[in-house]
Amino acid sequence: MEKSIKIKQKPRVLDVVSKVLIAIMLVVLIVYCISLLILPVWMILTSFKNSIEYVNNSFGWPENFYFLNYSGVFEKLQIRITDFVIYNVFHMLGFSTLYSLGSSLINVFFTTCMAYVLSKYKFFGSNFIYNLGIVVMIVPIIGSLPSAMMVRDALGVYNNMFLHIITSPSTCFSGTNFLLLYGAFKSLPWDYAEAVFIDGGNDFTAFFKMFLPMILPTATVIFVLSFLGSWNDYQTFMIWLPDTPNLAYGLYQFQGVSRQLYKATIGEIMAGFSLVIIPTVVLYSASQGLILSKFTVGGLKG
Amino acid sequence: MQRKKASSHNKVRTLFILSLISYPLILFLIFYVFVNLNSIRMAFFNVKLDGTWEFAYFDNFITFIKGLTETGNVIGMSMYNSIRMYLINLVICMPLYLIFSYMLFKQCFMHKAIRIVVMLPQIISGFVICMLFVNFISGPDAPLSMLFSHLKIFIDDKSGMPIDLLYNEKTAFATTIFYGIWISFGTSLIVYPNAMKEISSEVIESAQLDGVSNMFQEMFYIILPLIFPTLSTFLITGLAGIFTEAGTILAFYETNAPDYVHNMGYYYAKLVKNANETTYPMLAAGGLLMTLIVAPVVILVRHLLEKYGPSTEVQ
Repeated sequence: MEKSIKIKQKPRVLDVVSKVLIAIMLVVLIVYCISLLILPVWMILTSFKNSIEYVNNSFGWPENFYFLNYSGVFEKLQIRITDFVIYNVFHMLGFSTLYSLGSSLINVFFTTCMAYVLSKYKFFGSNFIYNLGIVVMIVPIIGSLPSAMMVRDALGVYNNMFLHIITSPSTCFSGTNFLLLYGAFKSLPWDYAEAVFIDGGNDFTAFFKMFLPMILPTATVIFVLSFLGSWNDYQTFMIWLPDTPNLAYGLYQFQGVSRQLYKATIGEIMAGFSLVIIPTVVLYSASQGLILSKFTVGGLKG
Repeated sequence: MQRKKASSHNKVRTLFILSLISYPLILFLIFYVFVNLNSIRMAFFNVKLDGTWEFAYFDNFITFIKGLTETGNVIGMSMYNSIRMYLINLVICMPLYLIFSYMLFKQCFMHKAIRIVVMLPQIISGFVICMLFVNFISGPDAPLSMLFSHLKIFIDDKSGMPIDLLYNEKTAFATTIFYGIWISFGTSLIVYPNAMKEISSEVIESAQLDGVSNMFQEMFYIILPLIFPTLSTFLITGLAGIFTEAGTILAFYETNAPDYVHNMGYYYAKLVKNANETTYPMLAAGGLLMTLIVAPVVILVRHLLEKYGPSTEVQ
């Protein structure tokens, strides 16, 4: 069981080229990292400038910190759905929280359930469901968006946040999250369940009291990543839930085509972005170590 | 007595399995199977002016193919741009992901700080970074426009104003591609180094004893073969999403993108967002055609990668 590699001749030129290439790529990587810092720094600085100062000093440090931009966001950021329904920042914050928590919890829970059952139980159709998940992941079905719109509209799911959330885990036995959890459950021996059965427990006890706590770190990573994705998801709201805008969609409207309508200044737009990132930055910072260590993707064995 | 106990145990197990998987499977049947079957059905129908549907034989397919082959038609342009985006991603991004991941795996200078900074778009939010990028480069009060104006470069001959990179025909597509590449490193620079970390240090040490002495040899003889399952997963899922990903075009332009930056994912999202129901049958027909082309290609690529890709088994 020993891997042996035969290198015929020690290629010295390649050694030098390799070192030079690594040095060049390191410079490129550092420049790239600096470029990633420019926009967030510009956002924070601009959020403290009034319009006149911004025109004269777009990049530099603010001369006088102008905090009114932040209160301006709360005053101006409103989305009018009908003449009688107008949502402000707090409504949108509520929609963001409800959607992010709801869809992430329900998706992670059902993905965990499916991964556990398919990895630990052999029953009629279990292999078929697993392979179906792989097929759904790798075989693209293109152009079903119009049909999805018609079906969702007919079932009342379109523009209904509650129904949208509870119907979201429709392909939860497919995709990267499923594979991560499936692999994690596979690596745990069935002996734990046997011990539960000897103690008088059943399959429910084995799953909820034994395996679920053991898988919690991986499930937490998936939950956090899913929450971050949902918090910033404006496309779902643009296409499927236009009448219950979340903060991301609200800000998208605020800075985009409707900017003139809101009479929003660039400082207020940047203040809005600075506010919307606070929950994600806090959540990511708290779980960063876990995310960096747990996120691996294997192959697609069907 | 024992048989009774076993039967009760089996009932509990069946109940357990059903309670955990029934709901997602029912959702799958409605929102995946039925939606796709309905999409196939829609491809053969047309919406009449009074809102009723009539059988249209292959008319929708013909309309889509005509759009695909007509010069300057947005459908053909969308498909061309989707393919270009995928190829650029494959040729430029993939080698960079691997080299940068190798450097992080080897714990290069400032590797810890780099791993945090490359995740910034994910930490801060990809959406916010995208909006910041738009505000930074596009519009009369964008810093980049002011810079162009100050340096008197990239000035439009007709208007005498700095060009808007997102709305200039020569620069718009390149700008969306640049942004896609610029923003894409975060997840890759977590997943690939993590996959590399799982390679046993003994394997690398023994390879070094056998004469492996530089990055190229280590990559080709050790790392690439051992992380090949991860690599092929990304290649396959990337190919599978070639005509469904809208990328950042929706964020950049909402539904007002110029034709020359459209891709297939965006084209579909735009028409559905605009609730243009009369176009649905043609879109469904186009989707069915593209699926019939892309699905076998993806399966073939997966088969070839498994058959001819490097084995991860230790010899």
